[in-house]
Amino acid sequence: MKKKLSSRIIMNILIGFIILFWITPFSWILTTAFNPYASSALQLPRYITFEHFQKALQDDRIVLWVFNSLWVAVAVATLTSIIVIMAAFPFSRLEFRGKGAILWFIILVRIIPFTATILPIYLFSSKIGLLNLGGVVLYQSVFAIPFGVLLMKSFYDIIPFEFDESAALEGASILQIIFYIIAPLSRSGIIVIWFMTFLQSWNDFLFPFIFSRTEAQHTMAIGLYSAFKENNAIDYGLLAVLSIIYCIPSVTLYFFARNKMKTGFAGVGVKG
Amino acid sequence: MGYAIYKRRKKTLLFLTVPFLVSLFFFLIAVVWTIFISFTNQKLTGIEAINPKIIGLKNYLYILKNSTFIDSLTITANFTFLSAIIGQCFIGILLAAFVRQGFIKRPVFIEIPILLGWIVPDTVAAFSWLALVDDTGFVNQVLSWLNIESTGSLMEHHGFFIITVNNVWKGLAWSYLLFTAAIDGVSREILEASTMDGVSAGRQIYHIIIPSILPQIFINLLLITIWTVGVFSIPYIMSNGNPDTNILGVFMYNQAFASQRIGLASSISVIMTCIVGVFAALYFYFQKKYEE
Repeated sequence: MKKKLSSRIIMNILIGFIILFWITPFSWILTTAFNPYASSALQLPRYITFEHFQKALQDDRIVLWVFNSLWVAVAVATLTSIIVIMAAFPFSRLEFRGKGAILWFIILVRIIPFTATILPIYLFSSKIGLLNLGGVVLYQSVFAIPFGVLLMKSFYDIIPFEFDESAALEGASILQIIFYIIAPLSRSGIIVIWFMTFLQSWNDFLFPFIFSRTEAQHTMAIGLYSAFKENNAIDYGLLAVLSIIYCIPSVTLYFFARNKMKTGFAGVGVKG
Repeated sequence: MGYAIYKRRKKTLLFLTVPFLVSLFFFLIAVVWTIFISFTNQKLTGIEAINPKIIGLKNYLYILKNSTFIDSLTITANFTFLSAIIGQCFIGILLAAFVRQGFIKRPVFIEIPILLGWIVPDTVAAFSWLALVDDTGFVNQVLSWLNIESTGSLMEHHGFFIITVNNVWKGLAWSYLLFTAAIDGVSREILEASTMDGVSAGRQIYHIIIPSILPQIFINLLLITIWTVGVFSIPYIMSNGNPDTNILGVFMYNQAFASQRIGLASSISVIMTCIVGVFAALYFYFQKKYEE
């Protein structure tokens, strides 16, 4: 389509503005991380330094935060995936009473904000000693499972029943059917769920903020928060480097899955 | 006939869903328990932490008369309207439409920045924005280039504006992607034909594009409204206790953990859930309607 020159110019200015607006925080992080005179100002470094990276890597606390975040996220993603692989199966293969209600309920869990249910969960956990990373793993999984089941069900639904039937005729048990036939066939679904859950947990602030208060249990999110929030003289270089380290999983994953994310998006918003 | 092979093993099969159902049940209990606590004078520490008393509707009566709470409701409503409905939904439709109309030739250039904003952790988004609005930060740099005198700490004086714009920055990608997918169904031929006939781009959006993606618009509006009402992390990290960033999530958190009044905070949670519930009910209604 040919467009008028004036509207093309306006549109290009608009696009330029949008791009600038969105990348400004990232450009600040990237320039500051290598800047020997790091400050809150956006400026090109006079020369490039890696001292902030060295400082970050030598800091035991930061290694601990990364380690905590990592094992929590891996545990949440793995636990969620295993439960989802099994739990989605009956929803795909059976008609039973209450199925519709449960699926309806899943969407409810997904859309009620966490802030609305966090208080009783907190009180409950403080009574039974779950105010630690174990509790974080548990609750993050609880809130990730419903959506995972919904997604996994849609992957199972496109696998024909004949596969189950022939396996059953050969004498396979239900778990064998799931783990040897159905799950391998929907491995792209499992991968999606694993990485999505991993990222959700890795990026999450609210649950670790409320449940893991001691310093030995800080995750990246909470470590960053406690190190830079109540501090007047902020070490901006370190902040930028930590931001980069903290962003690595999500940004890497995004560039790997960019095209798939776009094509798979049509249904997500509308179907919950 | 499909699931005949599972008929006699139905019970074994349903057993697989046990952990899942337990988690759903847990969620339900959390909701019910919030309602129960909201009728007590439960505190975080002290005697009322061990022996909370049921005080009926007192929390609700107190909170509904509390001017800070009313302010917080107003702030949340403005925050939601400006950042979710205008900032995310409306701009999302426009961008998606411009791409479809051919104004934006290489959508990947705006897609990557917008999506990066969406996928970075909340903590990183909050701290990088705090640096930008810092006294010596980027925004003040620009202001001084433009010779505009800065009026002290930006976060303190323009906190509401900053968290609103930040929420657009963080959340636009969702609406943009959703509408791009929806607009794919709008025929390019119709758009081109109407351009030939001299229909302006704005009228195309209003008369052709918006009517054909109306279901998605409704559903997206409800979803992002619900999510925005529950926002907590970024405004909490960014604010320094200034009153104009006191959205409901932050207010509730402070009542529960700073003032230690769990009972009162629960009543705020319940009110929040009720607000969200109205939108959720509408969401389910439209969802059903459009599926038929």
